[in-house]
Amino acid sequence: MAAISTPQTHFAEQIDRTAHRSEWTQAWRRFRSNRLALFGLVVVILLILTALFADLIVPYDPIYQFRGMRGAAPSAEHWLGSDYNGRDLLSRIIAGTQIALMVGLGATFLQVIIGVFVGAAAGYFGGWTDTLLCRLIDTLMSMPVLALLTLLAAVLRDKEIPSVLLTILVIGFTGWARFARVVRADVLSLRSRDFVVAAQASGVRALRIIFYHLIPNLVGPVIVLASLGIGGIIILEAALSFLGLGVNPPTPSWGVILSDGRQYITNYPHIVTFPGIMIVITVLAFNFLGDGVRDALDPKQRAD
Amino acid sequence: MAEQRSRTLDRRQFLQLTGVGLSLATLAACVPTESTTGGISSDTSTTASTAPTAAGGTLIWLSHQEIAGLGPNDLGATMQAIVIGAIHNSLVAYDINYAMYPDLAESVEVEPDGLKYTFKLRQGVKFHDGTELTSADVKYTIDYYGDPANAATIQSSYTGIDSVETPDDYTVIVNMATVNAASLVNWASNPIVNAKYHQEVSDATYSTAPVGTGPFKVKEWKAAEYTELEAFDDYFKGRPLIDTIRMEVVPEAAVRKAALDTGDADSSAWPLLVEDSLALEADPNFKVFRTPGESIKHFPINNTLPYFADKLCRQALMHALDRQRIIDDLWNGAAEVAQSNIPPNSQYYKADLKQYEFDPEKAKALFDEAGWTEGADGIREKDGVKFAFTCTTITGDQARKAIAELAQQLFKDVGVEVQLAEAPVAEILQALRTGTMDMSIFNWTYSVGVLEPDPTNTLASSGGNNFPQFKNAEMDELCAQGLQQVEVADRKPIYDRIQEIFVEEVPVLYLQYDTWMLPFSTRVEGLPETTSNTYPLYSYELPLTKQQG
Amino acid sequence: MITTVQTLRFQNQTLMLLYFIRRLLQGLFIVLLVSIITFAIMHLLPGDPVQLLLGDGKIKMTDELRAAIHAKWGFDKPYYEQYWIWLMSLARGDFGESLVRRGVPVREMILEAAPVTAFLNIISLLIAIAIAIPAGIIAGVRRNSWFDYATTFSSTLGVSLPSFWVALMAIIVFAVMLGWVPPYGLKTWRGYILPVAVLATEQMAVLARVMRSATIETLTQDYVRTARSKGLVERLVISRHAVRNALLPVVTVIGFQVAYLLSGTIVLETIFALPGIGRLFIDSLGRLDYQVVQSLVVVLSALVVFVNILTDMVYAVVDPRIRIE
Repeated sequence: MAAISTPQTHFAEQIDRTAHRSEWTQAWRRFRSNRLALFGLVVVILLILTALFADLIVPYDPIYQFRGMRGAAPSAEHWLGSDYNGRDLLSRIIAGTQIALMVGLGATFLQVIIGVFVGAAAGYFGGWTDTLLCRLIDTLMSMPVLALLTLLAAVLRDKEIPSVLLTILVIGFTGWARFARVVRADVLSLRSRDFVVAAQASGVRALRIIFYHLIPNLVGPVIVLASLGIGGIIILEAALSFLGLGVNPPTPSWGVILSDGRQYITNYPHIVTFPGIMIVITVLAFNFLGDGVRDALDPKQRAD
Repeated sequence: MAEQRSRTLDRRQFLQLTGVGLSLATLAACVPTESTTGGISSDTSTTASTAPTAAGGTLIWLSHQEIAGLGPNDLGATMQAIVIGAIHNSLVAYDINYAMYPDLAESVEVEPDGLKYTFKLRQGVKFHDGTELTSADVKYTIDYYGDPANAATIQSSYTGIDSVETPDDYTVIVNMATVNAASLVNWASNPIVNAKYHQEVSDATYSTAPVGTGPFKVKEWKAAEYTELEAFDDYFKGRPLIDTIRMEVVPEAAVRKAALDTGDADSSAWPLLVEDSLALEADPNFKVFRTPGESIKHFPINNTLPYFADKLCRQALMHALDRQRIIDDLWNGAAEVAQSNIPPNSQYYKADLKQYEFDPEKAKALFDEAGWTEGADGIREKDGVKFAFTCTTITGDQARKAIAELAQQLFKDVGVEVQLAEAPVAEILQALRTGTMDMSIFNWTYSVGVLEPDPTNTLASSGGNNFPQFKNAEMDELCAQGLQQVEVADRKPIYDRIQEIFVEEVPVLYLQYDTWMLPFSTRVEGLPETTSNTYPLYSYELPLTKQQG
Repeated sequence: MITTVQTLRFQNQTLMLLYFIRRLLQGLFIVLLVSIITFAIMHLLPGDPVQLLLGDGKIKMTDELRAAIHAKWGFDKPYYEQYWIWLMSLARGDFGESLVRRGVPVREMILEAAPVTAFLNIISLLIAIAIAIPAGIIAGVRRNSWFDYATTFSSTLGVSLPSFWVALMAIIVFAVMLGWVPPYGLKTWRGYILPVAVLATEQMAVLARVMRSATIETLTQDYVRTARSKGLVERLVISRHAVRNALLPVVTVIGFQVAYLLSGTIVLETIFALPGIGRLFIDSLGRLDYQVVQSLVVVLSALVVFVNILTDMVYAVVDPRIRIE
């Protein structure tokens, strides 16, 4: 709570909090009624559980190479068959869930942190800060994303960073602009709302206003953007693996399994089919979830 | 005085040549070849003396990389070398059995002391622009590309040359300052350019629009898409039977296979995935040539690092590798375990060298003997240093990455920890050379291929590509000596000893010689039954034709 | 006689012009900054391009020769001088020379590759727009209908599939098994079908989703409700107000796509063997062909900056609520 707790700010905050609470309950009710969104939520929860307990569920060691089992087709012992090095594909895909979620959530987290701060600062302070930050965003966004990723990955490669972390950093540092833009636009419109003006008038410091008044109102749109973005990040990871910028072997990410397996597409088609299906299901789930959250939080939904 | 016999080409190689020519004639029965009785005729009439039964058509080869240039400085990349070979000729060339035959030269004489080469050129050889080849063109080529001031990529192949004389229009005498036994394989196989044209435009422009004497001339060059060559009517050995050759660039291996399946291409000049090659071998619509490769698939290791510096450790690592399993499991059996730095089908290959069987127990014993004992976490250590390093594979190189992954597991079984990483090939080659990288995996020739055993570039301390940082005084001495002997019989003992040092010291972890499998559609006629040297398959010296329709 | 309205309009247009010029100057500065960053990063990349001229070992290289080649390429000059030389070549318009395709100015390489990529992307975008915009609008208007569900599902599916996977499957099915199209290349017009289809599917998915949510949002805006309450015909309401303002986010998305242009096309160009900018970029990066990569990045970023400026101008013109700062 604000250290400067004048009656005016206190009252304003009280109204805020009650308004928020009933908003969230209503949103949840709306979300529950959307079946696609529920499906997405269930799948995501299953994925998170798989990732958490991966070490217990895997039938075999995901990096152990069996002799003479190159590209073996699905069988009773190996439900999804084995890959080009004779490793059990099911185990690798389960282990890959950990990587997918780590990269997806980790990179999103980084993007949100950077994007929200830059966007809020630009929107709130305006003037030169805004122009400067906007042009910074423009410079970053105008470099072809892949160029940036490739160059960044190449420069960071020698620095002994584990490759999963490297992927998270690289995707995180290059993808925050959309968050910044949305946050900036929202902050610009929120800036003129009563409770902010009141807080300013009472002398509340800028940082506190941003933290305690503006950001809580941004949670909705940011969550929507974030959950819709996770799917894109997983696909981006697959594209990075295609270009050789993926995680280092023998770490099994879905993107790496897919892109390493693509030359065997006519010989051992199962190597690309199963990770591909996993990627589709996961991205679909996150997208449905994100759509559901957005529809649930949209106060104008009932207008239809 | 002992009889001084200068070596001429006609007597010995002549027999081999007619042998080859005869077998070609019997196999390509549907297409009569030129007469083969007296060596290749220098008949420059516009059409072949015998009427071809199936002339015309377009052959389509597939490349995995773009064709960045068409001049002698672009010979490094195999795909480019193939196209350049169709556009140019060299003084001598090598046929499908690696036998040398005179190409632009009618005869070659080498002085017994190896300090003078005399080439007598054919007469009436025409360039694509209509002018005739003379000794001036040969002198210009050697002088230009051998001159350090021009910083040509192939300049090292001209080392040791003192001067080039041209007493008349069809004689070239090359005087050597020092003996370089590799000369015929090196610079005599380099393309000869049109001096006048090359002087007018620069070498950089020449690479975009070359003028050579070869059977094909450039019709259209789109580096990243395709290079189209059309038959040269005035080719001195007779116009090729095929009208056009297209080298098309398709980076993705699976798509190259698809193109062969649909008939959109006639051959892939770069090998496909082994499974795909085997599938084509079983397919009656394709003929797949298997030839032993010239480069060794190996792990270059940085010999300056504490764990690689000890010979015992390197030998132990060799014992820890199950090289036959790598070939069986990951390469479908299409390779042979490497036992030497010189390819097995070379005449310099020494057969009974020291072998390294797969024996993890022996590996562990050797590690212990060297003082690298297993620590609490299962990883060996000595003097506080862990036996842990990084192996960097080439970005996008999925086939060899699989081998690195298996090696990672095998090394872990003997207490050595390996991390894997990926990097572009430019970075890897540079880092290995400068000693900043631990280990990688790729193919490289530790000789100069089947024809020439000289490993100075890679195994001598002064070598420009000494990836393992190998410094062995005896090796340096032998490398220098080997180049100074001209006769094969004199050179053999030197290279025997070099191979012995190589397998004893194990500067790199050598795995296998891949079997190169090159598929051709059966629509292409005129191919030999088997071949040791794949280069002639694409260099259009064979009377290839294509079935229409 | 000049009326007040005319004066206001004139003032407004002058403001716009000034804004445009200001943005252009800022854009120029951005592109310059990008060029410096790219140059710096490229020369931080480890590796020596000379190594790549050597093939797999048959060509010998000595340290002296390496130094001589470096001198020929101008690598012995200090970095700022190399940067200046390249910058001047940019200004002149020739963009420097390639190390690998010697004798070919980079401008020529880019001009040769650009039409392929541009054509591919423009055709795909047109197809995507033609299908996705109407689909998105209808889905947004008729919410929760079967059409809406179908569109939502298929467009979500479209952004969930890795493109190289789809491309390879398409080649196997349509080229090898059915033989309807060639497996790669642009020799005939048929060669365009698969790459355009794959690219358009991706873009369609994104556009449909954005269009749908933008339509939904504008339909619930106050001024639309006002129009409805005034009794205007539903169709007029939609076409006049909703569509025009829903187009704004779409234009933004298209603008974003340009920045992602490279990533989208690299994959497809590699698989379908199309000689476009994506392949030029990734091949040149791998070969450390410095000036090609640097020039490509500068050209592409200039394009993105320009498109962003245009987008913002369009916003300003179309949406009367946005004021120019």
